[in-house]
Amino acid sequence: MYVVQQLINALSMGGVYALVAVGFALIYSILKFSNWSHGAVIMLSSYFGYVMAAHVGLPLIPTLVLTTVVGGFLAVIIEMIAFRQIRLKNGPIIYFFVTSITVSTGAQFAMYPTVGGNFFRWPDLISSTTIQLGGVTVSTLNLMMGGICLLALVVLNQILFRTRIGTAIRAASNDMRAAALMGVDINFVIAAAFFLSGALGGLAGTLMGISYTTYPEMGAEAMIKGFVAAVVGGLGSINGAVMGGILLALVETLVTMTPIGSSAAPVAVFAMLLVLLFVRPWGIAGKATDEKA
Amino acid sequence: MQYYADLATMLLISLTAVVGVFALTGLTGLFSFGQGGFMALGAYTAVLSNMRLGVPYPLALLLGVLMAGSCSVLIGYPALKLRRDFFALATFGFGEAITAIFQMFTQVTGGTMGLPGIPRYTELWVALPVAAGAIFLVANFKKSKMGRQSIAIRNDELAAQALGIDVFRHKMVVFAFSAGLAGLAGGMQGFFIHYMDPRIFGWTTSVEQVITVYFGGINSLTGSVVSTLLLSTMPEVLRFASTWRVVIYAALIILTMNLRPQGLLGDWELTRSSARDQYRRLRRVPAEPQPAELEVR
Repeated sequence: MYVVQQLINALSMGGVYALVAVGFALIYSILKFSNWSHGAVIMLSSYFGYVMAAHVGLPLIPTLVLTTVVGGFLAVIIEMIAFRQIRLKNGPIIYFFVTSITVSTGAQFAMYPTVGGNFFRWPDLISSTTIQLGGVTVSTLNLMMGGICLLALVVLNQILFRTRIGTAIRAASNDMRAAALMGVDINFVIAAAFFLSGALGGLAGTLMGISYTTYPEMGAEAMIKGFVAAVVGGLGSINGAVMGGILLALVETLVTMTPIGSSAAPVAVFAMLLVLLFVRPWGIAGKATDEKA
Repeated sequence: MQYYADLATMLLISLTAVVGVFALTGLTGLFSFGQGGFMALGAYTAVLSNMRLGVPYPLALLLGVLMAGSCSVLIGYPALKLRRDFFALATFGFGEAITAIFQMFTQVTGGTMGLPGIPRYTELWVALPVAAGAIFLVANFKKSKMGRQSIAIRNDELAAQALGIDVFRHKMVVFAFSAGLAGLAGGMQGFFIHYMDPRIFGWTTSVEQVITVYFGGINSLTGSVVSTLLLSTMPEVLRFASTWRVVIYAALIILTMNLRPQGLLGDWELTRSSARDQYRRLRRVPAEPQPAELEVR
């Protein structure tokens, strides 16, 4: 029973990793670079959500909705400041990467002089109770987190596959030039993709804040998890990112349960990443492609 | 005075690692996010062999270099066969795994508690010739056949292969070379600050080195050196704004990337002739008439 309980906890954590990884994969699929500024969005919206919940006193649902929207706008602003010029100048992909990682570091270090390196504990937005499900004790927090992640992923799926802008995003990720030639407004589509990615990041940041705390390094830490999950799933593949997130959380939980304990979890995670890269570098769900000369 | 000597030593240590990254990332176009891991390997090998086995300092540094170099061959053999972006990911995973392993074996390495009481051997007079030697090596590497082959591989791997360059072997040599320099820098750093823990060699260290190379311009070794000088001393110069310095630093890098994508110095190298040209330009002395170029038909 203990194992089942741990696995259910892993699933809810995996949902959050999946949110981060999907937000990351969305940008990777269009602009083909690892967007580490996603960590900044996660961290900043988590702080925003903390202020809303603890100082303004908003209840759970409005806080979640607000941070989701704010996360989206943050990502759009970052795109305008850090990436747009490089993109318009047709700069090499690595420049996006370098600036994105700089944005993430800059945002993290901007927190220390302003709010300090403290861990902010959120007020109890949901009563921390447990329920019995056939002998398994599950906390309502974990159930709620899993549910919200699932809902967010379903909504994202609907947006990507049922709306015009979703179709445009998928077209741009397939071939940006061809999409532009067909009359798709690329600047708008990229802004929309950043908004969606940032919204997922904002939601993930809030959930991490609620279940743990909010602190300056949380963005970078979440990004490493989301990055590994996205790579394991197959870079740029959204379904793969979801699977990668859940797999990552399962591996972490299982390793923590072994006698070696939690100190082996990062070793196991990176060992898994290395083995996967050597055996199947395109990930679980990605497609094998050869580099074009 | 001691403060400036320490600052200069720290700077020279990072310079040793950065010129290695310049050869790997700048010239060959391979992104390694595991340089921090190689620094950790060099540092722990050197320091532990010195403290536990009594190996003298220069030999301990050499052991660190060999350790980092041989591990780079082990990881490079499978990783360099991958596409470049997957190579970057694999080195990232390797670097993080190394620091995680060092954190795990608490009895040997002290784990996250760190390793205190390391004797201090790295002084300015050690770091200066080492860094100068590293720069000399890389400068010659860039001018040599190896360096030109590196640039060919960076610009078009397939074409380079078609011209008869053994791309895999070449990448391996450059990777091991830069890992060795990282191991050397790590060893020197280990014997410098009396204390170390694995987290100071995390992926941020590797990324900072890549950013430094890009900031200076990927074609210019002088650029890498100048940007190391700038980016490492900036936090000290910006002491008046000490809490904001990393933010200012980040803003500067974003501005450079957006406004001057070729990096600070672009293609410019400091050589005897380029220095003379620069001097003339500053003093507004007309350049000597160049001998007419032969027209090649």
